[in-house]
Amino acid sequence: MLKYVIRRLLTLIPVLFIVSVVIFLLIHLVPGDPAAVMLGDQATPEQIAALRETLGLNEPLVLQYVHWVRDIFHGDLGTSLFMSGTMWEIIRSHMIPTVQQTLVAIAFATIVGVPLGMLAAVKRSRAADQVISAFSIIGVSMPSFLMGLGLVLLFSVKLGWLPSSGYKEIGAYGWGTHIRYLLLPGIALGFIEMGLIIRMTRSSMLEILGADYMRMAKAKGVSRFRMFARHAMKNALVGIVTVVGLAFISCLGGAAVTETIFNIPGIGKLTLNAVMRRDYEVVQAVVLVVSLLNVLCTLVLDLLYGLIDPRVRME
Amino acid sequence: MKRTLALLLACVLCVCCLAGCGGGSDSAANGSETARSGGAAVLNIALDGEPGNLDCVMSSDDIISEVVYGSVFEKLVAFTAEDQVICELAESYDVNEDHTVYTYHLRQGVRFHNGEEMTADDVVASMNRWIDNADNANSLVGGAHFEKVDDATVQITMETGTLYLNEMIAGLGQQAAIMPASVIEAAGEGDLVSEYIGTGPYAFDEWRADQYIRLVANAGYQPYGEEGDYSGWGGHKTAYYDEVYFYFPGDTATVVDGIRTGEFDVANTLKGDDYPVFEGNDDYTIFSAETELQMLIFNKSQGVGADPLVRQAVQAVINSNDLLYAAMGNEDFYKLYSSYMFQSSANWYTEAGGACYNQNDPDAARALFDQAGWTDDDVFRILVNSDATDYYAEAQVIQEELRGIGINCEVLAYDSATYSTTRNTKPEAWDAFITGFGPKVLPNMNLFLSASWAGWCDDARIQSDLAAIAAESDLETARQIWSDLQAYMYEEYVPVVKFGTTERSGVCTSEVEGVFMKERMVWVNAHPVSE
Repeated sequence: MLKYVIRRLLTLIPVLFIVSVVIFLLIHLVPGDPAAVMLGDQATPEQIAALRETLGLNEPLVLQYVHWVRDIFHGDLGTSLFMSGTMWEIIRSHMIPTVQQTLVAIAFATIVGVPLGMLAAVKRSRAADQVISAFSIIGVSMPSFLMGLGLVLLFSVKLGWLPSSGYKEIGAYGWGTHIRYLLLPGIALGFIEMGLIIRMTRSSMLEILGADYMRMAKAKGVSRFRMFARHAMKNALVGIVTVVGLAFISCLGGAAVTETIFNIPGIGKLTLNAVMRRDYEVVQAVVLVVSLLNVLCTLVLDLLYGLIDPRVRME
Repeated sequence: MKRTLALLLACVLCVCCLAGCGGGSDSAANGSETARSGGAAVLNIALDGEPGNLDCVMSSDDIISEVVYGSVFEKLVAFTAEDQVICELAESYDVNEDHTVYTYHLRQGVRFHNGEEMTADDVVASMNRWIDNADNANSLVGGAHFEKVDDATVQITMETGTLYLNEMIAGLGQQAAIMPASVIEAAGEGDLVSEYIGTGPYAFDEWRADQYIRLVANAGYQPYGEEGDYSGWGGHKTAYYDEVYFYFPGDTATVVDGIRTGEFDVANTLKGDDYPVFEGNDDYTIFSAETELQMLIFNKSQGVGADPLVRQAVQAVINSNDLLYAAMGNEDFYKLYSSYMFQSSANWYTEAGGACYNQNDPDAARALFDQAGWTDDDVFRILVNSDATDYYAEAQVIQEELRGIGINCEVLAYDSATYSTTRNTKPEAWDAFITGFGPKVLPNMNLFLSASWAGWCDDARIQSDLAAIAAESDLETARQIWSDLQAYMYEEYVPVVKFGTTERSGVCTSEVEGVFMKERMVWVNAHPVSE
């Protein structure tokens, strides 16, 4: 197991190197000048050139890359041209809202998706199954921005139950307010994943319910509840965990839309704004950190399989 | 069927439970805000973008001035609603007979937000930084600089006199903001300041990137003038709110919903499509003003735009009404008139050369293109910022109008950063671009007439006439020079094609008073209705 983990961690090195080169070249080769953005539309070319010089943007590209990589090895991910604080602080402060929103999304998707998927499997080909299947298709095909706007219209504008946008920190506002501000974005973000989880749970359960050992259990007179809880559910869990794990990674990377609609200062919005204003080092650092997180999440997912199912356990 | 119904009910219940936990009314949704600030008055303003910085001396972006000008930073003099210059941080000022020496006597006892008292050294450092970085100001004063006379007096002596230095100080997009000399020294030459310390009724407190900017009331603020005596940007200001938050929701639907649910009290921009949501509703107040002069600016330095005949031809084909309707979607949101200066600018408004405005004459345009020797291989390239949907719509209409007379026209639509870089550093890549300007109190402030800004209006007559206007001590003579110059620009040189002026709107809830639109949103004296 340890060897496997070390081997997987070593693969990070080439992955991160390739990511760093690609993102550095991409963001620097795209036209657009942060100095022009900083000085506004009415700045003269001379003023922009002077600020570029001050910001060190006129150095050769290779030299800028070497400096950036050297700084990373010293624990410094770079400096934002527009924001104060260290890059770690910037990423951390933006990552927290995204992770919190993602957790709410995954919690919603799992709590709603898994029971509905199981119910659909149990009630196969009946009305309940058809309604749930239709619901899951709506979930998969509904764009998160549309879902978000619909939720705001219903729960904020019409009913006035929940705030329409914003993010409130736990420390300053308490848990209640914090969660209330995350509910709508979490549901909007998790709705697609909910649809996927329903479909995955249903198909996994159907496969297991048709297995020989389930028929044997039924023949032996095992109770219906015990059959589902002890045998079917446990064996279906591998597939469900895969979908939930992938959903978590997908939500982390795909939160930019809901963050924009709900005005949440997350990592997606940070990346979008940094690209728009050509805040080079922020884009580079965020992409690097998110890539690292994705690889680590996948590793954790693989290790979880082993815990759930001894058949796929390493060694 | 019963089971299906039960299942549906269960789903609805589940969603309702998730949605309902923790709150049951709109007021409760916002209750946390009041609780957090201990019942203090808080103003929440939604902006249509996040500023790149708050250094309003270096950057002319409207959004920066909307946040900090008048609230955090103040100037020696300011404009009233009628564009009259009144004193702000200057107690009074003297101008000598030939308008070459301006002397400002400073208000005493004014303190910066860091507690230091404002001195003549701070004013000299601030005003000279402004002159060094604001192209128009530098041209007007001919490179002269401010000097300290004594602890309470500063002075500038220019080689050529000008009537309009105070107008330039009060009105330029790059604000002549007064800040501590130590902050300016720390920034260094040509760089942005890292601390936002001014003298205004609100002090900068916190900037959470992508989330909000927070200003707090400046308890030690000393207002100028009598209470209630406030107009435009100047006069008696009071911090009625303990905290002012600026949020940056990136989506217009988020802004509209935020205003309707009370999440925001004020929005600085209301799009035409969202106008009907608030129009005629007593719970909201829409504030509007004519704020932008939209135009096509030619590249006069190289390419096909360098030929005056081509510029005259493009001017001849344009139908301003079609363009502005495509951009604004409603005839109430724009005005058509030929003056390069706003109608509100009483001294400088003129219709001279107006026969060339809004010609909509394809035959004359084609004849001018032929006269210029236009071939089928030539292409007229319009650069436009794709994030500015109104400009983009205008570019597409011009493209169609030119194609209608057999002229190849290409629209180069780029995102903001690419657009400004291409415009500033690759003049060989475009022939014209579309942009807009706010009202100016002096023709010389119009950047589209600058020889050093994009478009490069390096015409001897234009520059000498502008210099003559700046130096002229008789207003009537200066007005005549401007009128003749506008006619020359319409009939011969054609540095730009003016489309018209557009209106900008914002909205606030009925709980807030004192927010209005001038060149941009002015909120500094905003107060709760009960005040």
